[in-house]
Amino acid sequence: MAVGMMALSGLKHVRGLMSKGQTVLLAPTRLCHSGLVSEPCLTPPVCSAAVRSFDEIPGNWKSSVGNLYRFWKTDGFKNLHHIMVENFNTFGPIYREKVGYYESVNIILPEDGAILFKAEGRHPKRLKVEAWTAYRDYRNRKYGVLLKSGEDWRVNRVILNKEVISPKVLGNFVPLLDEVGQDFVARVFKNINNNSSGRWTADLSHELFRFALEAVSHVLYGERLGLLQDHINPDSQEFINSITLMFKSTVPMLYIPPNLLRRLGAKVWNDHVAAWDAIFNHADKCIQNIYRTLRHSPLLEERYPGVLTSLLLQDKLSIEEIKASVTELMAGGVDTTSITLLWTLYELAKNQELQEKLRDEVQTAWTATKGDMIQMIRSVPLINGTIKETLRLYPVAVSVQRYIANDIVIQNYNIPAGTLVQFGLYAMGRNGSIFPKPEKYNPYRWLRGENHYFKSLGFGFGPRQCLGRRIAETEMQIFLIHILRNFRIEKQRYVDVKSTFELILIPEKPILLTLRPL
Amino acid sequence: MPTSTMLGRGMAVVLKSSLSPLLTCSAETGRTKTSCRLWMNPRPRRLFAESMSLCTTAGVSHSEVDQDSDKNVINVVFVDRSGQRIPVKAKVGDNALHLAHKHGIDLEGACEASLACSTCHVYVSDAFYDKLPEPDEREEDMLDMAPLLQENSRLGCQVILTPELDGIELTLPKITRNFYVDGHKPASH
Repeated sequence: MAVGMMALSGLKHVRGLMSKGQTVLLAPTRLCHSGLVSEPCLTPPVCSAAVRSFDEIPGNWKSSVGNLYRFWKTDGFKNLHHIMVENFNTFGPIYREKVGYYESVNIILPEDGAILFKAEGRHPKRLKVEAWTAYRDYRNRKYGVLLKSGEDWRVNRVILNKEVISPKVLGNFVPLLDEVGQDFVARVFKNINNNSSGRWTADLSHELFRFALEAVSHVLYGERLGLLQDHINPDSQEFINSITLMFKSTVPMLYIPPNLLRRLGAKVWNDHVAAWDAIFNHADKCIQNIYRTLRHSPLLEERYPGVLTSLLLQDKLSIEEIKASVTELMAGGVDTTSITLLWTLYELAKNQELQEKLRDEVQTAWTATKGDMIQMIRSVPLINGTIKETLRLYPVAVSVQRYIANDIVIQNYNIPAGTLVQFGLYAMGRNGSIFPKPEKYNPYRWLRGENHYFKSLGFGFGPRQCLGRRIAETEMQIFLIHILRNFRIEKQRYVDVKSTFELILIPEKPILLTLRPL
Repeated sequence: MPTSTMLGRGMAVVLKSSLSPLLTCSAETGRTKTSCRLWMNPRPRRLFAESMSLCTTAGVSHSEVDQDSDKNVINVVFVDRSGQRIPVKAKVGDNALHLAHKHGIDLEGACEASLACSTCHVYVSDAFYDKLPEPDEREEDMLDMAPLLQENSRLGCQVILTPELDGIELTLPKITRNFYVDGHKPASH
C-alpha cells in the first residue's frame, strides 16, 4: 500500500488558498537521515517499494538490558527528550527502541502522527505508567479516568467531559479562575511593596505551584484553599512537594518494573508510595469537606459549586469513581500549568519587544471588552498563541503515545496492532523542517493563516486528550492577562536555561525573574 | 488512614439515596421549581449555569415545537461514507451530530459534543458553509487534527441548525478512524 498517498495533509488555516470541497493531498515530507535540523530531504518516498517489515525499522532495540545500562550511564533518565532528538537525527523519522521492559516505535512527522491517531481505536490507550497502577493496586485505590481503560474508561470519560472540558462549562470556571488571578496580582504587589527597590525578584516556581493548586482547587471544589496568603496549610505544601516527587520517582519505573523494585525495597518505590499517599490524603480531605458541607447545608445561591459538587449532584458515577478522577485532576493541575507559565514568563522576560506586543493586545482587548473576562479570552489570539508556543518548545509531556488498535504502515514500515507508538513532541517542536527557525520563540506562528495540521499536541489528541485542558488553558490565559496588565517581566542576566525530564519537562535549574509594576 | 475510608461504600449509598428523589428533572411537568429542588432548601432556585440546563428548558420548548412545527423543522441531507444521500427532517436548535445519531447515521462523536475530539467531522455544502457562524478557536484546534480536512470542514456537534440552514447537505469524510475501515461500527448507547 502506498502509505505516502495515505498521509493526507489538511491545511485548515490555508483553507482560503484551496477551492472549496478540495482535499489537499501531499506526500509526506521526508527527512534526510543525516540531520533533522536541516532542510527536508526532497527525495520522494519510494512508494512503489514493498512495505518493509516491523523488524526492519532502524534503531537500537535488540539488547534491552544493554540499552538500560547505557541509558543509566549517560544520564538518560533525565535526558529522554534530548536522546529522542539524537535518535531521530541518527535513524530518521522513525525508529524502534527497547530500554528495560519498555519498547516503542517513535515517530516525529505531523502526517505520521495523523496515521497513528487514526489507529487509536474506540478506547485509546496511552503509555501505561506501571508505577501509578502499581500504587493504586498496592493501596487498593480505585483507578480514575487517567488510568482506566476500555469501556469503563469511555463511560467515565464521557460523563466527565461534560463537566470539565465542554465549552458549556467554561463560563462557570472563568470567575473562579479570575478571582485567583487577581489575588496573585495582589500578592505580587505586596511583595513589591515589602521591597525598597520597587520590584520583586524571585524564583517564581513556588509561587506558581501555589497559584496553580489554588486555581484548580477553586474549580474542582468551588472553594479556596488559601494558598496565596502568607501562611498556608502545611498539608497543601506537602501536596505540592509530593507531586514533584511523584513525577520524579516515576521515571526509573518506566524502565524497571515497579513490582520488582517494591520487592527489593528500593528507595524509589518507597518515595513514590509516600508521595502518592500525601497526594491522596490531602485530596481526600478536600473532597471530604465538600461532601460534608453538601450533606448538612443547602447549596448557596446560584453560584456554580465546582466540579466535585456538580458530579455528586448528577449521581451518574459512583462516589469512589468521582473521588479517583477528581484527585487525578487535582494532582495533574499543579506542575503542568505552573511550569508552562514559568517557561512563558522566562521567554517573555528574554523578549521585551514581544512582551510589549502582548501587552498591547491585552490592553486593547481590555478596553474593548470592559474587562469582561469571558470576552477577553476570545479576544487575545496572541496570548493563546503564546501558550501553544511555550508547549512547542517545552512540552509538558515530551511525547504522546498510543498502543495502536490495528496494523498501520508508517514511513513504509509495517507496525503491528498492539505496538506502543510514540509521537515525539519535543523533537517535533525543535525540528527546522516542521517549524522554521525552531529556536525562535514566536507565538505569531500559531495565528490563523498558518498550517497547524497535527502540530499542536501539547494537550494530546482526541477523546483521550488531557481532560483538564480547558481548565489549564483558561487558567493560563487569565494569569497572563493579569500579569501583563500589571507588571513588566524582566531577567537580571541572560542565562540560557535547559530542560530536564522528570516525567514532565522542567527547568534544569531555578529561573530568577523580576516583576516590576508598569 | 481515616480520611480515605470515610467516604466509603456506606456513605455513597446514603448520598445516592438522599439525592435521587430530589434530582428527578421531569420534562413532563415542565416545572423546574417543583421537580428540581436541590437539597432541603425550601426556596425555589434556578440551577447553576449550563450543566443542568435540561431541567430548565425541557418542558417549555416541547409545546412550542408541537404548535408550529413547520417553522421549527428543516430539511437536512446527510451523505454517508458510501455516498448514499439520506434526507431527514431536523428540529431547529438541534446540532448535526445529535441529528445524525437520531437517524442511525454513523457519525461518531466520541466526546459526545464536548468539543474534545474531531470524530464528528463533516463537510458542509458550499451554499451553506458561509451561513454558519465562524468556528471559534477551540473548534479550530480540534479541526487541526481531523483526518481528510477540507476547506468546508466543520465539527458536526458545533453545527446548530437554524431555519436558514433548510436544505443543508452534510457529507461524512470517507474515513475517520481506522475501525470504520475495518467495518466496525460503534454500538449506540
